[in-house]
Amino acid sequence: MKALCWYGAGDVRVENVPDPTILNPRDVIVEVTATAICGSDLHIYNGYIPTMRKGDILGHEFAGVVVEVGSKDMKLKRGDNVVVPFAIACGNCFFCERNMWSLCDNSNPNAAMAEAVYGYSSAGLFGYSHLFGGYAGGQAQYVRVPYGDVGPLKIPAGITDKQALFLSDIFPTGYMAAENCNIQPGDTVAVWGCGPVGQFAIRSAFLQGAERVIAIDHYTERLHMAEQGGAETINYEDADLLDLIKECTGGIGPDACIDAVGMEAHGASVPALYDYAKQKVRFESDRPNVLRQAIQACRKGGTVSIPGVYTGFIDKVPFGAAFSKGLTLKTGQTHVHRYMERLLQNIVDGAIDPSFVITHNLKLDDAASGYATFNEQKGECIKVVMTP
Amino acid sequence: MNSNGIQRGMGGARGVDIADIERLGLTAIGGMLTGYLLTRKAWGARALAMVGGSMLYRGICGHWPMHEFLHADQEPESARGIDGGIEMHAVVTIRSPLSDVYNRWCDMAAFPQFMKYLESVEVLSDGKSRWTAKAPLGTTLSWTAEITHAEPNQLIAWQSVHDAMVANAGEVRFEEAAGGRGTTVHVRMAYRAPFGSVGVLLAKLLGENPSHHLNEDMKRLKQLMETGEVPTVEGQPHGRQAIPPGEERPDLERRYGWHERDKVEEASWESFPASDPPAHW
Repeated sequence: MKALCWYGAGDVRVENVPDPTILNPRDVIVEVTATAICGSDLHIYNGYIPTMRKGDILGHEFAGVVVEVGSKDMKLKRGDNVVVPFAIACGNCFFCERNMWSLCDNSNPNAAMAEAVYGYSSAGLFGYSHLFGGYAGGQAQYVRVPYGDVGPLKIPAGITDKQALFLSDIFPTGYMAAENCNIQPGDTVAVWGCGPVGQFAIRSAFLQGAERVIAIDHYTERLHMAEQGGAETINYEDADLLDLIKECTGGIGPDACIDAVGMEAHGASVPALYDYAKQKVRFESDRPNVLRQAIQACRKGGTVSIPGVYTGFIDKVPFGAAFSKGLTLKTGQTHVHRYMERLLQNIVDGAIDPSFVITHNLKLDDAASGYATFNEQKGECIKVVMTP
Repeated sequence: MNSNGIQRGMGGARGVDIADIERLGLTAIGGMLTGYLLTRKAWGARALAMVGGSMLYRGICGHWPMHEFLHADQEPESARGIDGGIEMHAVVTIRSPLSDVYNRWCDMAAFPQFMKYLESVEVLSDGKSRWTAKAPLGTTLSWTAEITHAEPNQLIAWQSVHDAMVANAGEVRFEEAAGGRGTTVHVRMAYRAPFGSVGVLLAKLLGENPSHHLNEDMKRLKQLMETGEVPTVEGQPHGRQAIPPGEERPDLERRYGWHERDKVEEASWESFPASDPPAHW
């Protein structure tokens, strides 16, 4: 089959590799009909995610048709149209039982590696390094899906694959980011990063009752899309960001701040340049400039919600500000399974059509150029979807 | 679990048994020796690199692994009767009732399902069993063990019988986890392998924690009991097996090709769009 494989920083290629096979009784094989490149795939593309091996198949956002099921009795059968959550969860452990699916205790075959780094291992992820299980991803013609009786959600008739596709990650991720803000009527939420997750966080904040959403970025196209979602926008290159946020919240500050950027934050400030330098020489794994700003900007007693990916160590984080203002910090990979059905209902009801975020439709064969475009032209390129 | 057991689990700082100036020297010489020799392909050079490595290790950690190994018997009570052996411990909490977990441990023949290096366990009479483990170069090691003590839903203790090639002993304790989270299993065991001193020294020089494999085994038991399978990625595709474009893999069409569809669906497909579309469309 064709699959997008990673070979190093800036080097991904579509290769002809063997088809996946059923390896465990609860596996299913899905023929991929639509798959997307996630902003977090760019962290891998740029070489910032450790424990990748040359040839690993990427991709954790995909939908498709079930073509083979394992020996265990399954709810799914051949021909079912499904969308698959990016976090791999067993559905049986303490964490799955408590609705914390991305913290599944059993799905990471390389748990020992994760334990050495993080103390305990979280769930395995599709196409996201060996630290998270080394599972082959879905930017391919076929993909093996473990625990097929738990993860995949059937796409009902009348909903297209491209509408359902983002239930695999970015819609639930934006939604959970907003939910982590514990939004009360009248609240103002500030969102850093108007990429796909930021766009869904903006719309989810409104769905959850926010009165105002302030969206922050420096790409005008992305800010424009945020405006279409109802947000007020700030281009951080125009003025001093923290002053502007204070100004437009009447000196109070946002009730909640969402860092939808993560470890590769841009910026031209002194701390941002410091991060660039340290990350280049690998003295710092992540560039936490947005996190610093979010903590600094948040109102007293507010919440900083962090859906953006961080993998290792960060420094110069103003923890004194977080402490003095009594902030709540909420973070973690999305518990996708928790939200899929609920958000599918939103799509069916017509409350939201997630395909608004797609700017580029490509064939899987052109995946490598899709990565390059997404990485280098973040202005006009917001979301790349590929079909085999 | 008693407090002694907890302290063991925690480990602790290892003693420093050489002087600082000597450590500096060893670090420098050992580091250079290792660095240089690792670039050489000959086996002799690699062996010397290990010597260099152990000097480096001693320089940095301030103690000889050998020293520690030879004095292992001075540590408080190792698991019954295995003086100088390798001691291992692991703890895991399984989301299953106490009796289920205990009964699983009574089914010794099924141990190879989760104990990676075990080939088979044959249950004999009188609480004895014959164990066969995988060893390097396709060889196996066998020994006979007997249950020395068992208290249903609480404890199983065993020991290898006299003159076993792999002398070993250990115990498994079971208790209900706090908050109704299932069953906590504590395993402690010790063993002494044939040519043990060499093997153990090598393992220690290479920095392998002897408890590592036992921990992995316990994790697999948990996975098996909670989910019915052990997660794996062995055998999945990746680009390291890529073949040139244009060269077709015959298995693609055979495994997923439309000719595998059942006859009704096939007929539906043939007559589409006159009929209803095929079910999966």
